[in-house]
Amino acid sequence: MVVQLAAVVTRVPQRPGPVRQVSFGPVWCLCFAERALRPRCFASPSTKVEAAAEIATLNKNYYHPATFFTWNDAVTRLVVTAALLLASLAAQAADVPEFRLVIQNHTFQPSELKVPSGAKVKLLVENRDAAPEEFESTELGREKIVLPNSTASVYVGPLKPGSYRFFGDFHQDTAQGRLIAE
Amino acid sequence: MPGVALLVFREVMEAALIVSIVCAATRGVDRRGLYVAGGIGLGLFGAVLVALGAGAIAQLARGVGQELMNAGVLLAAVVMIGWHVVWMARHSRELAQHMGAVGQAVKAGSSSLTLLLAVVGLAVLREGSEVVLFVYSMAMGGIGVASLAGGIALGVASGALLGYGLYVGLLRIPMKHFFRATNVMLVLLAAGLASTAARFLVQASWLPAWGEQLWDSSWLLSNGSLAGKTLSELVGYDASPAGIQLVFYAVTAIALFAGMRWLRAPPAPTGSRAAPGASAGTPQPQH
Repeated sequence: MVVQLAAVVTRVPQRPGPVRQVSFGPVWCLCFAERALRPRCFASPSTKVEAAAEIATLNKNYYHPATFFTWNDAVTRLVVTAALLLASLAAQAADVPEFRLVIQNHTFQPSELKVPSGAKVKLLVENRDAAPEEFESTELGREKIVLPNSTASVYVGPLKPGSYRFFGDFHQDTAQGRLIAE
Repeated sequence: MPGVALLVFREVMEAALIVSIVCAATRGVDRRGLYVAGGIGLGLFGAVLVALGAGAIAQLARGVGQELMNAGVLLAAVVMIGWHVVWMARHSRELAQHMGAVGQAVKAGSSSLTLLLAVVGLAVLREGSEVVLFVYSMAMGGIGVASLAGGIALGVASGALLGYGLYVGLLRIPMKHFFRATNVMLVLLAAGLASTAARFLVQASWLPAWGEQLWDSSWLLSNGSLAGKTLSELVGYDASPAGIQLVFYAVTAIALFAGMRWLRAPPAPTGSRAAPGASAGTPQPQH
């Protein structure tokens, strides 16, 4: 399934070759049979003359972008790509271990949080105070506002083993902590 | 009060550096003061809106709405700066030759000026919303009104002063190289903003890091220090960047420099091109 979807996404759009007018009959039949199936990007021919005119237009516009780009195609591709991306993100997010930090009275609990090194982790920062706080770490390059009585998630890592300082930006004199990656 | 002043100063400084580069880059353009003031005003208005809607934003996209909004604001600013520098590359010759009497160029440039207004607005919005939430947080903590107001005033004043200092410094660049210099600064600024946007997308786990902490130069210049913050805002310095930040930085810088180079106006043929510029100063009779 995924492989098929990936094939759809990565498929290079094929530019149609020039249409030759050698066997007029079969071409006209084909055009006619396709009337129901075809997206309405070209007028459906109902007579031989119209079919001939359409072929002439196709040949004339051979190098026009419209011959190898249609909005239908582009939108389908985009939707499938987005779906794949979201699916992979969901799969990725499910595998990430979670660690909880609580902000209470403008301090972090625990003030030292141990996380595994070499793997991405998800920090759940819960603010139990009535005032907003900003979880920030210049050493980790992370900053996120945590509103009162709510929880914010921050992805961190994979980290090298070591100690990383973090703080509550709005109450730096008390809200200090360390992330220990080991 | 010192704590309030320090945080407000940090946020105001980040926006002020962007505003001063924009001011320098629009030197000599008609009504640019109006545009910059409008950008700041809109930014402040937007900052209050964002702070009020912080709860709703936080809920978006499975809890990473805040990161996405930050990244979106930053990338929008990158696109607008990019558009402006390419436009400037096409018109800098006329601007440098006829400072003050640029007539047509200014008319065409006002669309670019609108973009820079938006850049100023976005910068103020991003930093301002943090200040609004911080002030709210402080007010909840029962800080005195005088102390809070004093801290804000001190922070805003010192941040604005630093931005003004950069502006005055930039104005000392000789006219011959002036727009080239401001364009380079704008490109580096845009590249830095793109790198920060990438960092937010990594934080949201929307982008792979392609190597967290490629190096660590915080022993030399840390992200938290004043110099580190300033350089981070001006040229996108990061003491321990992720690989994808470098990619965003490089792609933005290369795309904008290439755009400026390839889309530059062809050298003006002598004689025929001089006429419109001359006629802007001294109108000639037409028949």
